[in-house]
Amino acid sequence: MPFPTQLAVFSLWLTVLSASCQAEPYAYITNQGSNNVSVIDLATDKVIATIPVGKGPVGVAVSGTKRRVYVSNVDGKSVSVIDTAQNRAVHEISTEGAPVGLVLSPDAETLYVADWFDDQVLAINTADPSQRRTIAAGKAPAGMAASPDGKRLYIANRDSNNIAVVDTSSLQTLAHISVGEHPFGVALSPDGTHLYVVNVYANSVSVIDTASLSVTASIAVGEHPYCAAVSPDGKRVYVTNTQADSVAVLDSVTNKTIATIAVDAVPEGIAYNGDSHKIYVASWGDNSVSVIDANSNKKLASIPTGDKSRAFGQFIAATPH
Amino acid sequence: MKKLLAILAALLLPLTAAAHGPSPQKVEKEIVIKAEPAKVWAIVKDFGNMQKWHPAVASDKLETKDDGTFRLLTLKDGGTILERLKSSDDADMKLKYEIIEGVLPVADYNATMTVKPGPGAGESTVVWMARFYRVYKLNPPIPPGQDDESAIKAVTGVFEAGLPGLKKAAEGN
Repeated sequence: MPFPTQLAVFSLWLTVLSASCQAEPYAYITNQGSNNVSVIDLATDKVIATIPVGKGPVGVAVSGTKRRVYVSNVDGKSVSVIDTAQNRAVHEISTEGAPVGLVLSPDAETLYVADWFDDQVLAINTADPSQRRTIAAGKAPAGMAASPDGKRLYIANRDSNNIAVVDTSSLQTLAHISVGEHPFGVALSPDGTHLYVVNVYANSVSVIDTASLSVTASIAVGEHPYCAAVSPDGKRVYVTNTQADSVAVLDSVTNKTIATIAVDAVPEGIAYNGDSHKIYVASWGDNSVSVIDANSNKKLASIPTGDKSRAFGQFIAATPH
Repeated sequence: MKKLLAILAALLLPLTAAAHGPSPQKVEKEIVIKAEPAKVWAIVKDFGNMQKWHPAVASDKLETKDDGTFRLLTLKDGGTILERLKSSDDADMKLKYEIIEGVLPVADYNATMTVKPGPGAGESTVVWMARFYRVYKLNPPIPPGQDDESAIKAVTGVFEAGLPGLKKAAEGN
């Protein structure tokens, strides 16, 4: 490309970039006890809105590009749809049973909802939620992850002690991988090569190599772990130990716990903000979010949220305003 | 015949449904005690002597075994509760324990008692928090006395009787 054209393209890119620079990262925290969602501005670590949703919100999935946050109302048999520009729920999708785990396809066109009463996962069209398909899951499907190319869905079947690997076009289950006892939260490395499965009763994390679909390591963590988050470079995995009031820091190369961070009581959902290298942990016990600095592995602050904060799922995204 | 079988199958469904319905419940209570934190903590951490401060406890039998330290509480109203000590942290003045079995209508019960200094000089604040599920872990319909409300009411009763008892034991004598 000749230089004047390069310059023109670069200027155009700068203009577009500055125009879209209203996309800031926010954390959306589900408070199961107060039936609302706390919106935290991650530039200031302050709650800037509290959004009423359905009954008993637990799971969460965020799409920055679609400006939508989805929240599962476990006791209300529904999924609330939040518009991030207005910071209010604009729609409630009815489901059966008990919707808990949520994950969006990478293109945000499909919302996967795990109904652990009925042992099934719904694949709901986000543009038209009346369009939905059903995936037969194992017993009590809980946490889920979608591969970066959108072709696979990984489902933790909590009471079957395995991971189901599902082809998202055909909705057929390609494989079942046995893991530890009572798998609940899962997290995929950003490159999609490793799936980390948190086994609540085994106090361990199963590491699955997604190419071979086999468990390549089992890492001891703290007591009664629930959820995990992976750093953007894939080198660190953070796991919430709900009964130790701590977060285990795992080295993904050696597959060992290398640090333990004290946080607020009964930590559950966890997510990593790549912009600031801070990690956010929902505290069910203290009704707050603990903020951890990933560079020092220390808790920096507590942000008061609502009652019984859980934030089960990927709850951080840059959402345009 | 097919229709009859379908009806029968539908009736049987709740009995065969797996146990994954309940949501965890929380009870948290606190009290201010006019005594130094160290004195209050000494009473709280004394795992084998709960009868000294909780008015509902008749006796407390401490047992140290291979798999941990346990206390068997015999209640004045009758019935027992077996608890296992999970941790006792002098630096944080925090006691964590869980119920193994007992008369309370709860499941998977674990609790924390924390002693903090203040608000005033020579005062302590004790925070008692429990996380638990209702006894009936299958999906509804739930038998009476085994629901979320019964569980919360029972634990609240334990805390609301115990904390004033602890206050009296720490401030008295």
